[in-house]
Amino acid sequence: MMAEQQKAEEISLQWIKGQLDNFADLEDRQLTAPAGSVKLLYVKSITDPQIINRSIIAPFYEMNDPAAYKEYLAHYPGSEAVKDSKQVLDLMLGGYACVEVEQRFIFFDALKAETSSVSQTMTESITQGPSDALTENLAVNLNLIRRRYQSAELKMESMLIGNISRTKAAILYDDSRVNHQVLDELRERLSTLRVDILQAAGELEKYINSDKVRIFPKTIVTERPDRVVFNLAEGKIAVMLDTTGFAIVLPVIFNDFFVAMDDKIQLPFVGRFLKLLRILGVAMTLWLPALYVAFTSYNPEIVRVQIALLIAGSRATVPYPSFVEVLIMLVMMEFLTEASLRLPRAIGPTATTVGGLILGQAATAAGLVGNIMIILVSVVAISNFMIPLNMMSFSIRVLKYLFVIAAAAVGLVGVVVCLVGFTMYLCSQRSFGQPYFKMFALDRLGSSGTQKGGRS
Amino acid sequence: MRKLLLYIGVVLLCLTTGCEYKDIDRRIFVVAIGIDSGEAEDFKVSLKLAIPQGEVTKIDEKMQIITEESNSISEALRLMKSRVEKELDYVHCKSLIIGEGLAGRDIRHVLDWAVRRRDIQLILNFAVGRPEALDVLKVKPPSERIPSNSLIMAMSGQGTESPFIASVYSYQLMRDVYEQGKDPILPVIEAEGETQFRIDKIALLDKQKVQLVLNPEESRLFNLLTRPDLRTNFPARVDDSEFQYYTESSKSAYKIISSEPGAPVVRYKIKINGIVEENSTQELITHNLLEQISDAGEEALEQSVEALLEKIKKKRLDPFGWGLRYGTRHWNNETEAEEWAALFPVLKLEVAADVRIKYSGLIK
Repeated sequence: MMAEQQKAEEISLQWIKGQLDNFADLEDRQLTAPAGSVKLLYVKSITDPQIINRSIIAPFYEMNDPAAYKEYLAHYPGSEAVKDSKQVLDLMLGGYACVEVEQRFIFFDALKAETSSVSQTMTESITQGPSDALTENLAVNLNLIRRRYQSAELKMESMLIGNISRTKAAILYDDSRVNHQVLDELRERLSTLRVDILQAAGELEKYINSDKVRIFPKTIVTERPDRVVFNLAEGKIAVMLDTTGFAIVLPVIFNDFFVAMDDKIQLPFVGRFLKLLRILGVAMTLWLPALYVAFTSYNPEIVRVQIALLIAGSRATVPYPSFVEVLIMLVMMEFLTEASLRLPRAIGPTATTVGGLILGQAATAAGLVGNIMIILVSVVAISNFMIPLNMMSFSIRVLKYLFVIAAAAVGLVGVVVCLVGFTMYLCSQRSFGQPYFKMFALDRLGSSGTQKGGRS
Repeated sequence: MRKLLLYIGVVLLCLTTGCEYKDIDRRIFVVAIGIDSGEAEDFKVSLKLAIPQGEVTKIDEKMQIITEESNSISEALRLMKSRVEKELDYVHCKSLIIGEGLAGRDIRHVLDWAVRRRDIQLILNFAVGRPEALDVLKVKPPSERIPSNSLIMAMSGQGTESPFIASVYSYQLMRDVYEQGKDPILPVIEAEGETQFRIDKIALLDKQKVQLVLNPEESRLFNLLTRPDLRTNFPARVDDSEFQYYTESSKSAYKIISSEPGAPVVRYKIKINGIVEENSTQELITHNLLEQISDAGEEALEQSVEALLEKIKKKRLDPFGWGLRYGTRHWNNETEAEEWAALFPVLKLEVAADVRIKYSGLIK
């Protein structure tokens, strides 16, 4: 039996068919032309029908000469001569077609081409600029990055993470620009990582950060290859995982979370304006609810008398103190955002209608919340989504409640104290040893050779 | 278990509020205060309260005026607290009207109270109410959407830019009362019926009470001397035709000259750029005529300003702060005030107006 399998001559189509018994997608054809006939055998689901057609079937009829056809197949790049029967099965399952011509078996490479296509960005859309997103396939992702970063300095290290999932991870960096201290730290943290299953980039982000209680994200999780490239050029490190469409970029500073990839594309003034708008949006979503509580319940002297009377009028029927009103409305808004995220696309609009119209209108009509409150909540909800990166926008979403509580406790003083506290907290944070709240303007002043991705 | 209790404690703590916490709908805003001399007691304090409107679209201004008499202002306010269901809040109070009777006796008591109270802002507009502060508070113009808003707008200059109105904040009044060499002024608000008021006079005070009330014409000149770029019109008469020119820009400055021989002089310089606004005849305005109008305007202005200054000087009032200016230029702490007191009666007043009317206001 063993000796029989060792010899190529003894392999017959019959034997192969026997091995691939119960393969519903096994194709077995006989091609007959006036000059002779060949037999063709392949597994349909992993072979490319186009290659079969164009490179195997069509030439046979066109040449009409089995001897020449045999030569053609044997010398075609990718066709294999067979050495043992074990290899035959591997080749058949690996997408090769078996052709029997003039008593000889030729295995022709017809593997179906990589079809996991590059899709559009979902979470970080921009108006102009590339819209391809990272995919779940590491090879495709590397293709997307390498194409944009054609430098010999771009190094890649790969490793396996996870005892069961054996997830392939790749560390990418520009060797000439990267901070090697950070790189060493990352290598160490990845190598000491002990987990069973690793499936998402965000998960890895959680594992490689040292501090337990974190409010702000310390690494960027992005799905945009151009953002990865931009950050690589700035000397940062990207970690990419197979089976997840996101990459992790580190180390980051606070400001990085407010950079959208449009900023580079827009005219300088427009870009600055957009960035200003974004920072303003953060300020709004963070402070508006707190300021509302402070102004209505502690310091009505700060707003104009007209507004004070307006708020007082709109609150005339509200039975609860202002901060309960704010909390009710904010939580309601969070429900809406969360629900519309999870809802299937077909019933998505229902949430908007129910939330926007019924909750907003009815709540004011019933006198449960004031008119001003509705405006405020919508501003808070909208401006929250101006932050380009999801992780940060979620952090800010949670943070605003702290400000509301501070405002409810001691009014405007509380808001200010909270703000000072957070500034101090941000200053104390480090992302992989790098100061987190580093000011971008100062940074640019300091370094003589600016290595901004767009300019270098 | 202990951890759970801690969490519950934190959550409950979050639902409590600080001590100063009072919702805006539990406060009632006092938008104006009127203080008159009372019949039985010293003061009659009136508060104008703004009642907020729930429906913004349905505008119907609602206000409430409550009055209380007492020997002290604070006491009157405390008494009034028990007459409304909400907490009285003075943070949005923008005007304080002193009745004419009280202003003729003494304003210092009221001023001291207003500056001392911490929840009343120092940018409170002071004014004299005629005939009584209460009457001014009762005025409710039909154009008003928020109680007392018209008063705030008129007095602060955010709304009308009338050349007859001088606005005085409480911090300014406080300074003027206690500053050597400057006397305070106050605008006069007259109530005309229930729906109109008129602010076109200025009351000049010595350190304590009203001494002289300027008529509208003089009030405008007074504002011209104290404010840059007063938007108004002045007359000019050339031959038989009467012209009015609009002041596009105006500037006035003065110098006190005491070192030269002869009596000390206060020399005013007024510079006005103007446009012809009104022409009583159908005469064509030429460049030549423009110059004539300018000259005539200058002369008229010089005469009227000089008359005003003389009138003020005769009352021995110093609303322009000449004494203060003299003190700053003659630095001698012991004697400067006495020197000035001796100089004041013999002061000579000179006015040099420079009116340039540049445009006819019309292309023909």
